Amino acid sequence: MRRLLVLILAQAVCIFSFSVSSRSKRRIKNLEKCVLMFDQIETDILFSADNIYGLIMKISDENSPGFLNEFLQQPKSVPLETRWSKSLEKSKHHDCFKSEDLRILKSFGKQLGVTDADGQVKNCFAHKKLLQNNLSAALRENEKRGNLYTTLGLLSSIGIIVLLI
Amino acid sequence: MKRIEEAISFLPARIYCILKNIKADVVENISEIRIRKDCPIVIKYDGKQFYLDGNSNLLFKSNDHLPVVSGAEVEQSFIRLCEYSVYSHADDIKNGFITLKGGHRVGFSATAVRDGEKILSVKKVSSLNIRIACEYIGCSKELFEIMLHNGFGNVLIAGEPSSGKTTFLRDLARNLSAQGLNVSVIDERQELFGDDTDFQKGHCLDLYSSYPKHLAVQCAIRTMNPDYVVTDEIGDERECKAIIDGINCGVDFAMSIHCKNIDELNSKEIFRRIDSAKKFDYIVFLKGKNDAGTISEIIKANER
Repeated sequence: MRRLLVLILAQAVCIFSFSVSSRSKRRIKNLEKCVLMFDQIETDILFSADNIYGLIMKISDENSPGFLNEFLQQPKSVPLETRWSKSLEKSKHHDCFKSEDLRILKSFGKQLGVTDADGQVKNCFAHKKLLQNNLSAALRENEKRGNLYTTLGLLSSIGIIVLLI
Repeated sequence: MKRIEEAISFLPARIYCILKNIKADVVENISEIRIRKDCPIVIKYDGKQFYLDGNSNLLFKSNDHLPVVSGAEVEQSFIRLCEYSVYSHADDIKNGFITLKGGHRVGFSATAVRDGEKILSVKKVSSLNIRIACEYIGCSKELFEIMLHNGFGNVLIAGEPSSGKTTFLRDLARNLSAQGLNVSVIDERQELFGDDTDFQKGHCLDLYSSYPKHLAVQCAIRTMNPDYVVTDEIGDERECKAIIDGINCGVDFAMSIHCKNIDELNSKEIFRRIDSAKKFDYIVFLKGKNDAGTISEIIKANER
């Protein structure tokens, strides 16, 4: 019985460490997707002038941030800004965004579609820059601590097993 | 009912409900809906203006108890009218209107954002005028029968604003197409047939939607070999030149122009230029606002 408890505890510590590490990686991946999304939106507005719904439908696939699919599932009668913000809130845990990422993405949604093409391009550019800063910081942090979490998790699990058995 | 629903779908819930609850027999004959900041909703029904109360009843006179539209509701309507994509309607916005699915035209007044003479965009939208596109099948029958008897030729439809010129042209285009003539319709503002409407077209109608008129006329003549080119509201020099070139190529035109009577028509430079050698075989005057799409007079070339 004691051995089983020790094993479960060790496994839990290990899973927690892996989860912290993988959330950080997932956040980086999603920030990269968002930066790409800004480029796609900008290009589409300039060259095809599709409306926002058509445009988001076009760019949302398995490689796009999860909140875009959430956005498309919400009723069209809801104002765009509310839909955008709600979809971000709903998928923030899945997409592993931090509050500073959400703030930038929500601010982007407020300006989305409400100005002429020049205004939209500037909106994309400004928010892309801000998100790129967050991405760079996340990459630096991941470089420093990403492997640390995994290694610490493994070591502490082994440590627990050794000490308690 | 479907037409009205298409035309009001972008309005905020409160206004939408008031309009949707208007009696069915009235709804069918609404031609205009006016939404103004801090004012009651006004509709044009049977050629007359009415105010709407909170229970969707029609009133001749305004009073202090009528529901008024807030500035935020007008702004929200405008953004929804643009499908939250102002950038994709940039040209229409500069021209002061947006065409909805179904061919309904929504005009608006706002504050212009300018760069010298050039309008870049608009802000602070304060009023909207929704003009319901209607289909009076058969309104051009009288003219069409005369054409069948006397031969086809260039047609000019003249009438004051809201006299039903577009409706008349649409019906004429449909009749010509049903007769087996190849008709190219130049629908710059997507009002005649639009690109997503259920108006009957016949089987021989080619639609140039959203093209600038002068380019579409050249394009149609070069590539579609039309018997007729139908276009709405001729306006500027380039359009006039393209039409004269087209007529000189042997293609017949049906077009419309804003004017009440023959005196006003004769004073129009564009008309004088196109008609320099009695190019119009038929000039049709429409009755006016209260009798949309009804012929008042048909003048043949040999009667002028």
